[in-house]
Amino acid sequence: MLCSTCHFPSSPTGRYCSFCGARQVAAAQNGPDLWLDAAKDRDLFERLSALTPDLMYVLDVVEERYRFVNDAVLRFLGCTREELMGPRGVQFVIESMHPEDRRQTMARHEELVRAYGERADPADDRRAERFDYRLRDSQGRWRWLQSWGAIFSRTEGGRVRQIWGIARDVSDQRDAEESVRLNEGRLRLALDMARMLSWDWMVGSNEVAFSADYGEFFGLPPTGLVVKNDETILEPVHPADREGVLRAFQSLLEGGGEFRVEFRGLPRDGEHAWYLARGRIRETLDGKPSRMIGITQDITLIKKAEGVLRRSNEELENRVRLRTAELQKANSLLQATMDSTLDGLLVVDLQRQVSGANRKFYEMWQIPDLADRRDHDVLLAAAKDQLLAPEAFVGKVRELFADPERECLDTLEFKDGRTFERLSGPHVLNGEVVGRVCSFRDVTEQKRTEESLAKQHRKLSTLSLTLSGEPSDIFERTVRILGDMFQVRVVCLSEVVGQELYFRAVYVDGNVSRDAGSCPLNITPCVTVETDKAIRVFDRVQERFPLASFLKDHNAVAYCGFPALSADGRVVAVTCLLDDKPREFTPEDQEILQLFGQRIAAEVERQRHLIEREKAEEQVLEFRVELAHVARLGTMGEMASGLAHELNQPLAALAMYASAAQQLASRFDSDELQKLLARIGEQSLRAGEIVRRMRSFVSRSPFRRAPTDVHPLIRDVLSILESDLRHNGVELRLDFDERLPPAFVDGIQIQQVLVNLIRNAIEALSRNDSGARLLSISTDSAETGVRVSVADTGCGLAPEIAANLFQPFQTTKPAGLGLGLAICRTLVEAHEGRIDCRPNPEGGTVFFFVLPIAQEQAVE
Amino acid sequence: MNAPLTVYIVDDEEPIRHSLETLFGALSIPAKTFSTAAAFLEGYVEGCPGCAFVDLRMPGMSGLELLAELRRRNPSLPVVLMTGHGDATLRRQAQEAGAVATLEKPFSLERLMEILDRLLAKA
Repeated sequence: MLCSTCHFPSSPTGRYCSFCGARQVAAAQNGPDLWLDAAKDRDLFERLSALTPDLMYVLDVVEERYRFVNDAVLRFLGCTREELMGPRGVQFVIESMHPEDRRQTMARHEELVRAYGERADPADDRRAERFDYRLRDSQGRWRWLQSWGAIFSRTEGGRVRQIWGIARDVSDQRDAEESVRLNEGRLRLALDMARMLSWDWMVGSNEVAFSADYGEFFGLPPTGLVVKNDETILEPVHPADREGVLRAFQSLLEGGGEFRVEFRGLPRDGEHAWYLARGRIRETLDGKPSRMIGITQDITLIKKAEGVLRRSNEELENRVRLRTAELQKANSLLQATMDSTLDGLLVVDLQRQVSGANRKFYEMWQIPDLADRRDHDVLLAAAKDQLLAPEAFVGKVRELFADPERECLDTLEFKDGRTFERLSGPHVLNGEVVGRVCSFRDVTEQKRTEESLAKQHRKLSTLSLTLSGEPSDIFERTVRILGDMFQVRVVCLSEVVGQELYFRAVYVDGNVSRDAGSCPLNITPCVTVETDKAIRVFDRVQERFPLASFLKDHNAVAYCGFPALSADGRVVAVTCLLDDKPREFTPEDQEILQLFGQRIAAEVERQRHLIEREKAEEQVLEFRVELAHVARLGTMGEMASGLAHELNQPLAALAMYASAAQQLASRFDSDELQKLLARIGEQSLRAGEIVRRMRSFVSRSPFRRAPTDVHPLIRDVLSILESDLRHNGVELRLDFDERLPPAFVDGIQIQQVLVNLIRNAIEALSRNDSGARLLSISTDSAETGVRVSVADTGCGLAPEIAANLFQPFQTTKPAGLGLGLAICRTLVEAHEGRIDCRPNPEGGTVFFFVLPIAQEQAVE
Repeated sequence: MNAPLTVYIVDDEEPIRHSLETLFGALSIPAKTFSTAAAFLEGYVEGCPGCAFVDLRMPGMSGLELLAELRRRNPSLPVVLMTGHGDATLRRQAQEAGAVATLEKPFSLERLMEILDRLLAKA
């Protein structure tokens, strides 16, 4: 069949011409082969065949020679028409054929010739057969040729004489197809590997074609490659995400653009698979959506990985944050450390750029804020003019930078009087010098202190010299020295005596006077404000201490004073400087005054101790005399029994002589003589009685308690002291309770108590020149026993004396030892009794003691 | 006072011996004096009626020792001990030793007569 357009033989079943590609509109007419006969047609054919890229030939199978080949054949094979149409032409083509295709192609060719040769249907001649084979081209490449061949002419006998063929190089097309096939395979593999499903949704048919089984992809029962897009298509989607997926589709259909939705699959083994669907709309020419093509991807692993990644990112971020915080902290600590140090710190690198400096540095060097604080040269320029020797400083800095390893310490003096110490050394990092570190210390104050210390030292040398002289005039000398040293108008040096401030020495305008009066202690500024610390008032001291009269007396305006304390914390002495104009006293002044003040206080205490020692020595002497007296008394007591014996002998003789004389006198009937002799006898006996009592009183006897009537004890004592009472004109009044029970006591000891109390009373009364000298001794029953009271109408006792009355060595008597009442108390307390005193309502004092009553069982 | 009775006075002190002797003389009582206990033991004839006034404290043999010796030799002679400083202890010792009484010097005539009366009543 011939093409209706180009009239070339064409595939009998094809709807298109295999030669010119035109659609076949009608069946070709079987008619005479017109165009071959026409010369002009032949010319047209030849021109066309020469132009076409397809290979055209006519082969005479009988002669085995090409009858026609077009230029394309010649170009392809790279030979001339003569060679190809010569006797070796066919053989050349066969040899150029790929060995794998040669036999098959030859066989088909022979088969075709034979088959067509046997048939006689002319329609067969118009049927073209297709051969595909590879042929080597002029460049030696194997090219795929798609070739169509058909019967061209027959012999008279009907045998096939000539066949024609047309072949096209389809290598590029086949490569492309191969590549597409390969790519498709790769894509499928890639989709499988990436767990992706590609899909193509035909909007019109509402069918979706998938690249793999839809159900299997989602891990569900197989569904197929093409699925109807209805509700079932959402089955693999997690119910909670279905609406989201639908909404994404809907908005895509309405708005276009790209579709992208993530959704979960149905839960499996408690976990959801995650999917990502992406797609694009394809539109028709009139802009209506026709298809949507896209992929669905299993992103579970990605999601998991994302989670892991997110967590690790978070962790990383956290670490970074922590580390950053640490670094910030370390940095701020470093900065704070640098800032808090009293030294100015500067770190400069080898390029003379400031790599670090603390605030103190900028303050110390008064570097303006505006300056470029990073540039060392700028800093140097700003700093150097503050110095006394700027050129030397700059030179030294240059020297230091020239020698990075060098360390040095030097002193920088400023025009404003400040002094810095600079310590400079290499900044070493990992064993390598990377710059220079300088620290600056403001030693101005230190230098001043050193100077003032030196000054103070000179002053103190003066102090030690002046205080080493004679102690007798130390106070005068001291005020003079202080006055000269401080150039003040007044220096007062006062000792504290009781509640008074007693001015031992006062310096006024260069004149020194001794013992210059006193003033109350509690108005002194020093004592009022603080003790053991010098106080300084630079101005208007009188307003602050209006009561201190001596300030007014000296017209004081400024004051510096120091109260020195004794070891037990009492103010001993106050040393003060006064001036009649405002003035400052420096802490050094204060210290010097303190040193003098302490020295003065030591001297005051020394003198005071001297006086006290003298007093104490005097008192010891007195005590010694009295003790000797007491000792003599004691000796007498021991002698008393012997003495009593010695006295009693003559008294006894006297009494007996008197009795004898009385007897004799009776013979002479001389009454008068008898009476006299009787008196002699009586008095002798009385003397004996006194001696007896005295002896029993003074003799040392063991403590022997017995039920005793206290009244005879009192009477005995009174008889001993009778002459004392009489001698001092004391009126005696006795008030005895006659129903008094016996006391359980040692009579002699109680008598001792009574003697002491009565003698004290007599002494008290003897000092009472006006008024009655009345001694009352009374007894009564007290709650706890027998009470004996001895009352005098003397001068009474001061309360402070009464408090310690019964302590040893407490006495109101100029010659007293202060033992009497202490002994009394000891004796009474030995009896489980008590002794006390109270004021007498009639004036004077009542001493009383209470003794235990003798109980049945207490009797020995 | 009619009994043949002699008072022996033993005391180392002469004024005591003499004043007592004088007093007894004034009372018409014969008295003999001895300055020591030894002298008395030597001069006293055993069995002679009388009584002895003996000082307690004497050089050599004391009054108490003499009393003990007399009790050994002649228990019937009453002895009165005289003391210059009497206390309860001495008094008790004297009684234990057998003294009929103790006299504390100085003593009154009444006290002396009382003791003599007691001795006479015994005799």
